[in-house]
Amino acid sequence: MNLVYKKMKCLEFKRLALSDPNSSEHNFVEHSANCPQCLKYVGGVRQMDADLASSVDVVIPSDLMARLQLNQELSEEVEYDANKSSLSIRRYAIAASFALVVFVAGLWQATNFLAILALAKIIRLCCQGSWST
Amino acid sequence: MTDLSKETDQQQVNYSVMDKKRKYALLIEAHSTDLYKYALWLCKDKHMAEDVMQEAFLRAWKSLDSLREAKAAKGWLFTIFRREHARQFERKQFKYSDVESMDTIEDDRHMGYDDRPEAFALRNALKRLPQDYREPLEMQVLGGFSCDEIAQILSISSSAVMTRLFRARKKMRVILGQETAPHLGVVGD
Repeated sequence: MNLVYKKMKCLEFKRLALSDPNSSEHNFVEHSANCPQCLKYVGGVRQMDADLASSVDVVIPSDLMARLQLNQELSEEVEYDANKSSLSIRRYAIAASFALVVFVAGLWQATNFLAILALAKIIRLCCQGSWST
Repeated sequence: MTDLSKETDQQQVNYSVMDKKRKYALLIEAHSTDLYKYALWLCKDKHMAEDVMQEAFLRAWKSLDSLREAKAAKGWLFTIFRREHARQFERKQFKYSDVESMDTIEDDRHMGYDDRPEAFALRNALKRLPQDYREPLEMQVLGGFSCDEIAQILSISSSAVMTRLFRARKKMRVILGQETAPHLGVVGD
């Protein structure tokens, strides 16, 4: 019975070893410490992983990191220029709006002034007419 | 080791208060080597790997403000890279098939890989895995991600990742035709 239990545990261990050979799960670590066969098994899996990682190991081109940095600087410059031009457009828009407000206000004032003048003329004419009669 | 990498190794960097340029420099210093390795493996072409990497880093720069924790940086960067790779892959699919059809030790040597037959056999075994199994294994072995991180990047459950990794390694062993993989003398020598 004990043997069956141990076998089950080993199967479970091997399953986990193939999924995550560097697992720090308590049961996993404990089992590998107590079962030499499983320890050897997980060692083999880790070895395969290390060999695989080593087989695709390459040296990064020396200038690539500099290019990554340069790209960022250039992108920042482009961003800055875009912001600058959008800021100047915004300034022009504000100035144009202000000019329009001043123009409309002036027009309104002028219209009012003309209306006042017309009213004054009418009053004056009315007064002149009443005096003459 | 430079000051920058020391700083990143500590994994205690508070990205939310850091200057954007400094954050970006740290990202390059800490992850560009791993990412290039992954990029070259996925693209199988030096120039394309560099192009995709540059595009990915540029995208990372543009959305760098959304990155708050140093711990999440690698996963975040790999996700950006994978999306960029998928975009470029769609565009250059024809070139890809040309490159894939002529995988030889000579090509691998040209790309800077270990040209020993054992290493070539391992790379070929990895290539022969179905993509669903290969992807998590590449991320775990090449990228050093945990099962939870892989699950997050691939948007699948942790248990699905574990199952795929289990099957991937099983299949790798079958392809290699042995219980223990060819020994390259990397660990324990």
